Amino acid sequence: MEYDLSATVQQIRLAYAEHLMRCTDLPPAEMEDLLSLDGDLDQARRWLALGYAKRRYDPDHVRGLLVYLFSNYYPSLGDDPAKGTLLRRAIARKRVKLSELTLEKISGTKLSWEEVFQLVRKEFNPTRVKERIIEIYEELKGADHERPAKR
Amino acid sequence: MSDLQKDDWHWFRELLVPLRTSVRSAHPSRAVLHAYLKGQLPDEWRVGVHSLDLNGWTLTEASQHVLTCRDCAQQLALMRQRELEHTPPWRDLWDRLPGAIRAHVAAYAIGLVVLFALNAFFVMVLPSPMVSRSCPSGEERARPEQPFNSQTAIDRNLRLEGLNRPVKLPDSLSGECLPVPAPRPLSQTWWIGWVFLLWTLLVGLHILWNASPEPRPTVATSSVMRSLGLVPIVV
Repeated sequence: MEYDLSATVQQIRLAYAEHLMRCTDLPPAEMEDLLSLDGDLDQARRWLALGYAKRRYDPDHVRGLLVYLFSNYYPSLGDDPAKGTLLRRAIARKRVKLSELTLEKISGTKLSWEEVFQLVRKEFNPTRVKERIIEIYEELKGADHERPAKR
Repeated sequence: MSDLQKDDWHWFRELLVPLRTSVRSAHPSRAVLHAYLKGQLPDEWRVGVHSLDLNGWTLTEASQHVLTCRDCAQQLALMRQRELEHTPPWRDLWDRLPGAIRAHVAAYAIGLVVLFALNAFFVMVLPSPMVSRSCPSGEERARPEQPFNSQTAIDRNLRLEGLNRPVKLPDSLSGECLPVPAPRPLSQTWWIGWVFLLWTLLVGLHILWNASPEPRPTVATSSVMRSLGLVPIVV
């Protein structure tokens, strides 16, 4: 079987996102090399920014943002209307925890922010969280530009 | 603010490159898919390596496989549809109730069952209290018979009439000093009935209060209308 590095790295990045969501993620410093195996440093920095933001600020805010992102923007394979109904029902009954979710379980469910807040069990300002993540990304980008100059 | 921050969702959406292949090419068994749905698969970091364990799937491996395999996605969709169909309709009604009402109704049901069991124990298992009558003393027994009273004699004849055998008389007439049952204390009556009535009223009030669009206690007419709604509950 032919080894596809870019596919493997994408698996690693999405697995990292899943572990961030379930709060079973490894420290970003340990993930740096794995996330940039294909040489796409910009994409790796974006994922690392999420990891650093989760550790620097309230982790539940980043986890909630990831749930919203994957629920609304990740393409779902095939038609599965029961998935969204069951997830919404579980959220309403408080029978689902973030630590049990996967990308597949939330993709295509189109959760609203209210439902995400119910799932995370706290409310936050998504715009503020997004700004913070992008700020960290800019920091990482700046640090990477400075690194070769120092050498 | 930089250009990135202006279009921040675009920035995040660029992260979501759909998977083309999953870590594991073999399909998970039905049991694995069932365990995946129930969240019973182990949550370990095992991505980027080929597992030698063909049966042991992790949560992420199963998730990524279903995201890339149309057959498994269809199978999972069927399993979810079946789960949805087997959910009883009363669960939906229950879920629509506000959390406070659900908690109150649950406490009401559990409380009534427990109190009923306690009440039944007090009434049926505990013996009712007895009071021993004062026995006639020896002098009273030795006292001569009362003067002849024709009415008493008639009564005694009535009691023994037509029967040439001894009649079992009640204790009050037999002259024996046996204990007699005393009136039951309040704890040994069926007080659960009162608890049931009062608590049902409270639950009804709670439901009505929540059902009203906005609690406005200052409006006299609405409170009158609301109290009318309690009539069937009180009845």
